[in-house]
Amino acid sequence: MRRVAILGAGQSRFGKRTDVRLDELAWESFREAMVESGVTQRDIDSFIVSTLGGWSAEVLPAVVVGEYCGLTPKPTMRVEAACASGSAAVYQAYTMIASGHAEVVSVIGVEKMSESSTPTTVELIGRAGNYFWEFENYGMTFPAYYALYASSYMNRYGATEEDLALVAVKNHYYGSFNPKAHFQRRISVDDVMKSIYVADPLKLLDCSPITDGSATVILASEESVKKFTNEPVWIRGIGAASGTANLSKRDNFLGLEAARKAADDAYKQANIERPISKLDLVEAHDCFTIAEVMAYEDLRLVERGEGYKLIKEEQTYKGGKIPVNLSGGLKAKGHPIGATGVSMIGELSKQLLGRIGGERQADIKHGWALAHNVGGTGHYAYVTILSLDKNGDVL
Amino acid sequence: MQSLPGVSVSSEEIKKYVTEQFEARIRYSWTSGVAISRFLEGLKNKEIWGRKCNRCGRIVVPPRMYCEQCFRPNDEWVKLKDTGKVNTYSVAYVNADASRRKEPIIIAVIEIDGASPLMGILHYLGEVQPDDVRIGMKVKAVWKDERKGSILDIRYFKPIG
Ligand SMILES: [Zn+2]
Repeated sequence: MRRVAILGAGQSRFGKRTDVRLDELAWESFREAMVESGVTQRDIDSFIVSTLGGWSAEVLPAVVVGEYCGLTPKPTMRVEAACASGSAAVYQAYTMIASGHAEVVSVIGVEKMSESSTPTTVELIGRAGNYFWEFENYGMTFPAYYALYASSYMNRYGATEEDLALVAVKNHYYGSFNPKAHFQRRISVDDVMKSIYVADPLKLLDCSPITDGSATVILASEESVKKFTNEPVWIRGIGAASGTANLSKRDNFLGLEAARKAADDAYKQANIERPISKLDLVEAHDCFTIAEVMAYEDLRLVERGEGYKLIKEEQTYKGGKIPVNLSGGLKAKGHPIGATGVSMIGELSKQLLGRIGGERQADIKHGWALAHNVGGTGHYAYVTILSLDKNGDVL
Repeated sequence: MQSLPGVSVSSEEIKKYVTEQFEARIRYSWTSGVAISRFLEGLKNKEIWGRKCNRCGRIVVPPRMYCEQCFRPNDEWVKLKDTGKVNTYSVAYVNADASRRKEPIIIAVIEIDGASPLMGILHYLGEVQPDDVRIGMKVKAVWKDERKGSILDIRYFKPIG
């Protein structure tokens, strides 16, 4: 297997983007990634587009994006793994390069959720999972699925709604420094506690928003990297796993087994034994506040049942044991489904290179970072590990 | 980050853009399949049926006709109890379309008695206040008088004991 690096990354402004079309939105991030990497369309062998879609009008988003970005007739496909589509697309590009099938591949994640009304979008997300046993008869919404986990977690470990609220407060704090974030407003625990219940114990401000946005990363083989940059960021491990469609068949509701398995696979590839002492920062999938707390544990940053204490002690702020979601996370940066994973990985590559700057820039001591991207309610999980160091044991 | 050419657009300006509208009218015909059809028929008689594999001994509900672990068709229908245990739950304040409910509903993952461990379904809880629901609580199905072969032939599960 060949080594694979990130040459450059880009991200559009996230939010309700009724000013641009799907392809124009994709172009915003693709253009930034081309500028950062020095890559032109000529250099790209293939492009992978990650979109969940359904709410947007385009049925074949990959070719629409390809035409607008000047990538036709390069080979392409759309990749879907629900909210983890972006990481799945990076995984696809990674394997194409690692196997020697391609030299330079662009991954473009884009989602235009505002093309449908909020009720339609909420219903489409609610159908994710197992349609008949969960949606058709009960009309479950996505927050209700995660609430099943929150109830169980709080019941077992004694965490409170205030503890979960701390995750939202942190991520909005960092979102306030991110000019591309959907929300750039700070909130307090009180704000979260006073927001209306969506699915007890989760309230409106425990939930990530419906967002439009795009993100791009451009990947290359070790042989091709030097043509473009002296500052590559290496992909040192990608772990992936799946969970049962039907939530009733999960072993427990205390963590996401798929995320745990994906993390363990990725750590093994990267030879990481104590993640908390090797990683400089983490981007975690905080679609709901409980999801970030479970991520701390699924990623083995702390033991089971200790996750909520990590945020309580502010250890996931910058300066703490392990900063998480300095981008603002899905909660404040926004969650344009197909773009989210690509945005996480692109953001971390810029973090490792010290290109974020300001309040959000992490202290890079070891040169390692991790993206944790979950699709559905633990239906898909991808964990991607990045490093400034290409040496050591690789795949 | 390098600055990029181009003009940013304000929210006031956005209103100037032309919006096209279309509605996709899609009607799905959804079959319940062999096993679930039989399961739904059973509900008409206030019965919950699972399928048993005689090789691995698992009794699965919702039922299926093939054991994916033993790689063979499973063997028999087994009538389960209409009682079970709450594995976890949530109190939903919104409808599927995100509109607010007048009264919240409680949805639980219920492990059905008589099936193998962790086999169960989602259903409503009733005759209980949200604050009184406990994980591990024993519950029993409350059936509708008029049943038509739907999972909603069970009105909800209520606490027992
Ligand atoms: Zn069997």
